[in-house]
Amino acid sequence: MARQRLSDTDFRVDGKAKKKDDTVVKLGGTQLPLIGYIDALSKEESLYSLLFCASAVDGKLHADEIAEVNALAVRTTTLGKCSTKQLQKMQEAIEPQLDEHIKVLRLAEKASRAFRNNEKRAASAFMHTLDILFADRDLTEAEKYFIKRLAEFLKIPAKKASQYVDVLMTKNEH
Amino acid sequence: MNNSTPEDYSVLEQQLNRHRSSMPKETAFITILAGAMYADHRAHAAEMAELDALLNRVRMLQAMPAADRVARRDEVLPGVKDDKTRGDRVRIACASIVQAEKGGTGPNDPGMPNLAVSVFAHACDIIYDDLDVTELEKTFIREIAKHLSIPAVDAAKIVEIISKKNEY
Repeated sequence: MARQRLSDTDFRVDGKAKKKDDTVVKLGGTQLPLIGYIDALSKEESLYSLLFCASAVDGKLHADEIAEVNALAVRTTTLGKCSTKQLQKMQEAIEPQLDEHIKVLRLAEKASRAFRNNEKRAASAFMHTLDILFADRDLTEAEKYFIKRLAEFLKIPAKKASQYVDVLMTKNEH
Repeated sequence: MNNSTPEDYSVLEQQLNRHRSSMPKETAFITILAGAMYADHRAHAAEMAELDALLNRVRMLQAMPAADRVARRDEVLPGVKDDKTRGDRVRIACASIVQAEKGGTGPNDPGMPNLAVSVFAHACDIIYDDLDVTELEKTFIREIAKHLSIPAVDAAKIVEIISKKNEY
C-alpha cells in the first residue's frame, strides 16, 4: 500500500472547497499533488517562513508581529547571518502566502522539509517557532492545531515535542 | 575595653541574615536578564539591542509603558555592569523572584507560579544565544539556579533544551 505523503494532506475542512477541487482534478484528468516538490526553500527561507507562519496562524499579520518575528529572527544562528536586504526579500516572498489558514499550513509543511531529516535542526526550528507562538498572551485553537501539525511535519517524536512545548511554554509564562 | 576576637563577631551573622533586601519583581526580572548578558564581563551593542528586544517581548513587562521599561533598565544596568556589585544585585533579584513566586499572605498577592523557572529559562536563552558559552557564564547559570531554588534536574533539562533551540 502506498504511504500517504505529508504533502498530499488536504488541510481544508470546508467540504465545498474540496468538492470544487475534485471537479478540477476530474476535468484535468490528472491527479496532481497539492504541493509540488519543485521550488525547495533554503534553510534560511524555511526558518523565516516558519516564524511568519507562527505569527500569522491566528489571523492577519500585524506590523508589531512582523517586528517581533524580525527581533527573534536576527537572534537565531541561521538567520542572524542574513543581511537586512536578504531578510526583506524573503519577507516579501513569504507575506503573500499568509493570507489564508490553508496557505499558512501549506507553507509550514513546505518549510519543514528543510529540517525534517535532521533531528537537531528540526528541534531547533520547532522551538524557535514555539517562542513566537507562546509570546502571545493567548494560545488559540488554530495555534494549538498548528503546533501539533508542525511537530508532525518536522517528524519530532511526540514525547520530545511535549518536552519542548513544556519548557518553552514555561519560559514564556511570565 | 574591647576584648572581642574576630571570631566573636560571628554572633552578628544571624541578625545580619534577618535583613532581606528585595526589589520589585519587574526590576528583579530585568536585573537577572541583564546579569546574564554581562555574565562574561562584556556586552556588545548587538547584545544590548537584543536585551531591549527581549524586554519588549517578555510578558511580565508588557504592562509597563515603554518609557518606564527603559527607565527601569537604565536604573538596573550600572549595578549589573560593575563586576563588584553584579553578584549581589543578581542574588537579591533572585530572592525577590522567589518571594514574588510564593506571593504574600493576603488575597491581593496570590503568587506567580513558575516565575523562577521562567526567569531561569529566559536567562539561559540569553547565554546560549551565541553558543559560545564561557566558564563565567556556566558559573552564572549554576548560581542563579541555586538562588532561584530550581532543582538541579529541572535546571539541567532547561539548559539542555534551550541550548538545542539555539543551535541553529
